[in-house]
Amino acid sequence: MATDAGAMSNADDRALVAAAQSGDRRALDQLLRRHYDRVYAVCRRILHHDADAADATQDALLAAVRALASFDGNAAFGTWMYRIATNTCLDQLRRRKRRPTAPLDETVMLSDLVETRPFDSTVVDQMAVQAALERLPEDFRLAVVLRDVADLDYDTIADTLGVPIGTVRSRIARGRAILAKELGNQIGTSEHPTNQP
Amino acid sequence: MTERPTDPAGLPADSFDHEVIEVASALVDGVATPVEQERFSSNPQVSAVSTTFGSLRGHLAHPEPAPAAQREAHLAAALDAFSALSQPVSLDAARARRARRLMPALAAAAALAVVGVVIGSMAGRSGSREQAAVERTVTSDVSTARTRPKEQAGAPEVSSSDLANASTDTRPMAAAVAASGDAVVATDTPSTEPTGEGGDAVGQPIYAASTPRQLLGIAQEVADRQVAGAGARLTNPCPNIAGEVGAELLWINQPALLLLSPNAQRPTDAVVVNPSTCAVEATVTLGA
Repeated sequence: MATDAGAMSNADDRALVAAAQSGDRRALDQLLRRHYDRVYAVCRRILHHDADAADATQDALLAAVRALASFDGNAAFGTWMYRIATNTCLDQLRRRKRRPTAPLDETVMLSDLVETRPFDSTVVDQMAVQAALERLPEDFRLAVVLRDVADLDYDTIADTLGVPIGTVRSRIARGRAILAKELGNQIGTSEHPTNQP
Repeated sequence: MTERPTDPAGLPADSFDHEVIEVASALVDGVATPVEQERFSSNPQVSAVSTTFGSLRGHLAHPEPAPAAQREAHLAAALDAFSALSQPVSLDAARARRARRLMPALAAAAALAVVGVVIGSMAGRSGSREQAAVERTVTSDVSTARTRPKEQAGAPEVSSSDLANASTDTRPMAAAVAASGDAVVATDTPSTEPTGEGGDAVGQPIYAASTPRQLLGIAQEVADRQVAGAGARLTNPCPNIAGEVGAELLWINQPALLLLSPNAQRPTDAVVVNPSTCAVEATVTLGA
């Protein structure tokens, strides 16, 4: 679903990548600034902790700089960069001790969702979103983060996680449903009208 | 026994729920099939769940931004690394850094040697056969710690922790990379024969590459050496990557390991791996 703005951004990225590969430091600076926030967001959502996310972001930037010479432009720079960030975060997840959390209830019925009112930024704060995400089982969390934060397509997510594309689709849906149920429960279901007949 | 609720199509409610949820999620991402779109496009429940998922996506995509100071520090470090990569630097600097890294090990070896001499003299005075055995053991350990003699250094077993530690150093690693684009094989001595004293830790050439073409040339040479049984055997520190270490090299001026996959005897691919993170930096197919 490439938008015009997205296509233009990719074209700009290509020009910046070419300049950076030729040694243009300012082009690299601009390129990294464009993608820094999302790289950090991916790491923050996957790793939860500020310090871990900061370390992984730094590692991802350095890895991207080192590998820039071998970037061939087959994928969009953003996709390539977020994959590097994801792999850096996955490495860190594998290395660190797992921190125990109380997992969310994975049983979600349709009624849990259609009776939940859509989220409102005024009532769902970021801490609640982050806390719910932290309790989401890792398989679901990674799939949801790669889709909704890194904006990777299903093929790329399947490739990154090493699972079939059908599994990716299922994990994203289930992960979203579990999160929506959890956050919907937090804000209540009072006056929201349902769409059920 | 109570009957399970069913949807209009006769499916169990939980199966129907899962299908609706999955289709609603697919619609948000624009990946629903035409059949799914036709079947569910007018379903109000699907619309409601899609709306919820779309809203959730918006919340997930924008966590609190990184602190500005952290952001600027990260970007500055990345740009510094970029500048370091762009500057050709001398091999002397690389040797100096390696020497600094090895200094603690050499100091420890020297201390062991002193202990060995002391114990040896004590053994001589007492004439004890037991103490003489201790002397031989300690002396043997010292010679192993310091360096391997040339005749033993053909295929030493060496840990990669040295490289792993080196890669955590944020200072730019020195390497000579030819501007012409040809691979550089830099050795501490003109010969690539293991030198024992003063050479690279495993008596192997130090390879440096910054492009896939350079890497391929090096990988072919390393593979040939390994197949011929002339290469060093280093421990693969990355259990998640199948392969055997063929050589250490500088990949875009950073310490790395060149893994021959699936093994060193019949390699089909060469993989450049960061020894501290086990991240794959580059891959080339041998014989391509």
